[in-house]
Formats: sequence, C-alpha cells, structure tokens
Amino acid sequence: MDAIVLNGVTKQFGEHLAVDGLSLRVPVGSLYGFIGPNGSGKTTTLRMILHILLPDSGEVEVLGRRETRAAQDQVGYLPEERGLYKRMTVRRLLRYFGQLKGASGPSLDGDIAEWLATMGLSDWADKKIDTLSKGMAQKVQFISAVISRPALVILDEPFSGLDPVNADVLKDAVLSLKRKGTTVVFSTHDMGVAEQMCDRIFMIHKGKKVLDGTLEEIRAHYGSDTIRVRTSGGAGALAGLAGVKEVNDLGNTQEVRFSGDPQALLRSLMDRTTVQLFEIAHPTLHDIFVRIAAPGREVTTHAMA
Amino acid sequence: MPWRKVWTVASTEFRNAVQTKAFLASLLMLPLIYGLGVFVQFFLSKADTQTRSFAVIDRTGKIAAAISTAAQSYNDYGIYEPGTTGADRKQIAPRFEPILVDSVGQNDREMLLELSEKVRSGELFAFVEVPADILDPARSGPQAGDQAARLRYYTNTPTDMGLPRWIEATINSAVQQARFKTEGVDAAKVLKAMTPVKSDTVGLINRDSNPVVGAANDMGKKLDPIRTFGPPIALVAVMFVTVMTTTPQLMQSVMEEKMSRISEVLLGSLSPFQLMLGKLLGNVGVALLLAALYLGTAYGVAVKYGYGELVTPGLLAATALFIFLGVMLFGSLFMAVGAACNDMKDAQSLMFPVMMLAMLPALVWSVVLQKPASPISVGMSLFPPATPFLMLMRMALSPAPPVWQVILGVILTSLTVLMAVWASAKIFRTGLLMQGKAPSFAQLFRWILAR
Repeated sequence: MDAIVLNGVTKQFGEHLAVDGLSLRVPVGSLYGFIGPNGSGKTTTLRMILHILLPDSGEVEVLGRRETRAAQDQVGYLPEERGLYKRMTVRRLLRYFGQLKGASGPSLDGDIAEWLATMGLSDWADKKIDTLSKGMAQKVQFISAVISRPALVILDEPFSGLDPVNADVLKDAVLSLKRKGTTVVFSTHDMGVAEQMCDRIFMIHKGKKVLDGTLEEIRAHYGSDTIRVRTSGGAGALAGLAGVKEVNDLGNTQEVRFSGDPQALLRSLMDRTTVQLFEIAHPTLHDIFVRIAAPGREVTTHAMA
Repeated sequence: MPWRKVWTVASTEFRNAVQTKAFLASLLMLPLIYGLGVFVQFFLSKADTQTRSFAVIDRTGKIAAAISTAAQSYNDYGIYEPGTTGADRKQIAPRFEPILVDSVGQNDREMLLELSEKVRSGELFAFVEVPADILDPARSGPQAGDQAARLRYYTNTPTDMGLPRWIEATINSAVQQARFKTEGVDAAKVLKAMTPVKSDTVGLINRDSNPVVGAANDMGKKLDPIRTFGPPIALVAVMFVTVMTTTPQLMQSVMEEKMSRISEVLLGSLSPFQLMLGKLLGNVGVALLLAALYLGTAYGVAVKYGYGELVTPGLLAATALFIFLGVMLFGSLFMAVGAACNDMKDAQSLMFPVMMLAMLPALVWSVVLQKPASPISVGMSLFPPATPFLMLMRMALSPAPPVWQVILGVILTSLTVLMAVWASAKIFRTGLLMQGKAPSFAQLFRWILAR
C-alpha cells in the first residue's frame, strides 16, 4: 500500500514549468527524503500532495484518496518558511492547529503536554510565541504539524537553522514517528541527514525526477566509476589520460569519473607523478547531487584536452 | 462542509480580536465619548459670561443713545436664565458694554487703527461703525438696493455671532423707529400688528389616536430634534464604528498569515472558503459585542432622559442584521485586499476603492436624513455597499421605507456578500501563495475566474 501516489503530475506557473510529468510512490511507513536544488520543484510537489495547489494534469493520490482535501485531516505539514501567530500562547496555538485537523478534547490536550515535554518546552506552554527563541519556535511548529496524529507527515526542510542539539531532538522525534508507523516525507539540503535517516531518496531537478530509490540502489547506479586520487601533480597530472571523463577538483584531492581499467590509470599516473592516494570509491549522495545539479560547473572547469 | 472547522476559526478569531489592544481601546472609547459629552454639556451650561466691551462710532449722532438704552435693558433682564429672579438669578449670557467714540474732528484711519489695536490687545471685544446715511431712506431703504449703506462690524473673532446679531437687531429697530417717525406711523401699533406666530412640528396621527377635543397630545405627538434625528444618527454611527473598527483588522490578520506563511498550514487544513467564513463570523461576533455595548449604554442614557421608547425591538433586530451584512461585505473585501498584498504599502493602493465604498454612505447620509423618501435616498439605500448603513438610517426615520424596499435591500446585499466572499476566497487562495509585487486589478480579476 502506498501513502502517496503521483502519476504523471505536471504543474506550470505562467511560462515556468515547475513540475514536469512526475511519477512517484511513497510506501506506507517509509521515511522518504526529497532532495533537489533550490527552485527544482520540491515545494510545488509537496504543495500538490497537500492539495494546496492542484496539478494541471496527472493524478495525486494521498492515503488512497483522490478527491481534493479528502485526506487532509490525515496529513501533517511543516512548511519551509516558518510562521506562527506571535500573540497566541503555545498551548492555544497547538490546540488551534490540532482542532483544525479534527483533533479535540482531552486527548488533544494530553498530546500537547506530552509533545511539549518531549521537546523540553513544558515550561513555555503558557508563554506567548513571540517570547520564544527561533529554535523553540521551530520545535513548536514541528509539534503543530504532528499534534493531530496524522498518518502522513510532510516536513519541508525540518532541520534547517537548528543547532546540533535541537536538530538531534527533532531527528529523534521523526524517527519515533516512523517507529509508530507514520509515513514521513521530508525535504532537505543536508545530504548527510538524507543518507543517515531515509529509507528511500527522491531527487527532483528542473521539475523532473532524476533519482528514486534506496541509498544502495542509487549508489550502485552511480557505482564504482569514481576514483579519488591525491598526487603531487594535482589536477594537471590527470590531463589527457585515456578513460578520464571528468575531473572534480576538490583541492588536495581530485574525484575522477573514469571508464576502463583502474589499474591502467594508476600505472599511467605513477609514470607521471608521485601518487599519495588512489581509491576506488562509491560516490556520496553529495557527489551524486552535485553531479546532477551542476553539470555546467564540471564541464567548464574540467574540460579535458 | 464541515462547520466544525468554521466554528474553530470563528471562535479563535473572536478570542484573538477581543484580546487585542485595538478592541480594548474601542471599549475605552465608550466612557471617553460619554465623558466628553458630559464635559461639553458642563461647558455649555457654564455659559460664556465674559463682558463684551465694544466701541460704537456713530456718524449719525442719533443711534448711539438707542444702543446704550438697549444695552442697559439687555444687561438688566436679557442675560439671566428665565425663571430665576432676585439675587439667585443665574447669568447665562455676557453683558454688553457699549463705549461711544466721538468721531468728530478725528482722522478716520488713525481712529480705526487705534480701535483695532484695542481689540487686538483685548481691551475691546469689537467695534462697530454706523454710517451717517443709515437713517436716510434713500440710502438705506428698499430703493437703495446694492448701494445701501451698511453697518461695519470690526472683529478678530468673526465666529462669535452673539454680539453682532444683537447690534444688528438693535440698530435695525432704532432705524425702523426713526423711519416710522419720518413716515408719521404709530410704531407701537405696527409692532403689535407684526407679532409673529410660532409653529410646532408634530408627527402624523393614527386611527387609534384618541380624538378628544382639546387633548392636543392625542392629535399627534409634538416632535423634537432628538426624537427625529437621534435614533438614525446614533444607529448609523454605531454601524460605522463597529464595521470600521473590526473589518480592517481582517486585512491585517490575513496579511500576517500570508507574510508569516501560516496560511500555507491553514490551507493544508481547510478550504479558503471555510477559513474566510470562519474569520468573518468571528468578526461579526466582535462587531455585535461592540454594538451591544455601545447601544446598551446609549439605551441607558436614552431611558434616563425619557427617550427609552425610541429604541424598539424591531429596530434592534434590523441593526443586528445590518451589522452582520456590513461586516460580512466589508470584511470579505478587506480580506481580499490583505490576501493580494505583501505589505502595508501595497495595501494602501488596493484599499482605496474599498475605502471609497465605505465612505459612500457618509457622503450622502445628510441627504437621506433630510429627505428619506427622495429618489436619491431610495437609490443609495438599495446600493448594496451602502444598504447596511442607509437602509438602517431610513428605518429609523419617518417616513419609514416600504417593506419591499427593506427586503429588496437585504436580498441585494446578501447576494453581494456571497459574491464578495466567493471572490475573496479565490483571491485568498491564489494570493496567499504569491510573493513579490502586488497584483493589478486585471490580475485580481483573473485570479477570481481561475479554477
């Protein structure tokens, strides 16, 4: 069973094609990471899943329901740009957002108290929002997204702007949601977080899906064509060698995309210069992201002679 | 439509609004306004009794004595509250002290300058110049026309009309006396014959009025200005205050939600129409609460001064209905403006047409007050944005509007409200996710028609 099914979804704003024929399945109970450069269509996709925006064509199915807003009460949402009513108290605000999602009564109040305790905010329950620090407000906003016990939680950049301690608190909260069977989709620019936490990763670029799968599947696909080298000759030592497709110069080390026998490459390099490091590597998610999202940079700075 | 969410929004909106400083301020306005009323009353009752000294340049040489005599009699009898006598009598008007100036052999310009300086320094209140030919029938009578000789009253407080009116009346009567004498007419007989008749304005009588001969009260109630103008002005003022203090807040609240991106969460939880409706109903609650407080206080005051019967249940019900319609209409317009804008600066220009609509009743209400059944009054009171104010005003006036006009006005306004809420919800939905430059009216229109 899938929590989210997108089928050939397209959304255009004027001349700008924000999302282009996107298809995606998010299984129930999974922790799904959305990655992609700024302006690639991530937020538009999330808004269509929430029915805040309607697709121009294609189908959006959330928790098995296709009608607009039918599943709305079952979906929690933390938007990228945060905002809360400044003059409400924390408790009243959480109660309001919970009620808008259909929660009510003593169970809602109990959940509020429990979440505030988990986040270390119990003492702030009756303080006004504008007295909170930015980190506290972000945690309150996270609680507001999950307070109605939704089956699906959509978090847009949940960890950005938090100190490591608060980020860990939120990560633990997300993982505990997953353990309870909640489907969680979050977008992030932090590839480390995506690698660390997500069951599956989805990348969108210029409105199109470019990656979708488990970390292992993705890495296997971009596979072992990456060789990391450090030589006394630097990037120049790699110029003109047979089989070298691209060089990503990281300063002291270079990442080489190579086709052919790595041993042959090592031999040729040893003929030219002193080799300090030679490693056949799996690309990190970061490398893959950069490779997809910034092709221009690679071409212009590392065009092989 | 799940009304529970509408109710959640409405009750939260109500609580938020009631807890704002603006609401507290509008409550504080109440005692302030009544306090101001008492204050003004006090000052009106504690009349200005500062003596008015004024110079008289009498170039006829015959009027000055009459002025002195008249001032003497006025100071003895005219400045006290009627009915009070002896040592207890209460002065309610200033004494008039004429000072005669001998103009013979003086340089005119020098003399006028000197007197002007005295007025400036406060030694004199004013001075009056009586031209020499004022007693000449050929120069001041009907045949003189535009060339007629005129009094010249010099002052630096031209708005204080008490003294100049008295001088004018006194000199006129002296001039008339002189003309009677010239014409050989008995002045006393003429004045007796010319005593004016007074009139009362009374309301129409009903079939069940008791036509007892001599019982004047049953032949139509004597009307006074408070009875005629009090209810319509008070009701429309309350309408204005409640609608205009609550609805612009909706623009602010929508703008806050848009700027802080709360709207995105809200739209992920309920439809824009539900959200709009909830916010509007919350504000209707605030407006009705305010109106109840204002009208309740006004009713208390009315009862105290014997005007309690002016407030009828029907009129109160109509007030509540029209406040409801007014808040819904202007609230949805203001919300649409808030949803379309990113900051107060954008809002100013888009607010202009809404403010124009809101000002419309204020521009024509004096016309409606004087001629409630005239075509322009009927037309304006059926123009939906003005109906809540003007129809209510007409209902409080005589003749009351025919029932069909009231019903038509309510129907037209209700349809306009539905359209405004619907259009605003569309602008809301599109505008909330838009950032950047404020939309043009053409764009707004396209948003309304968009899917």
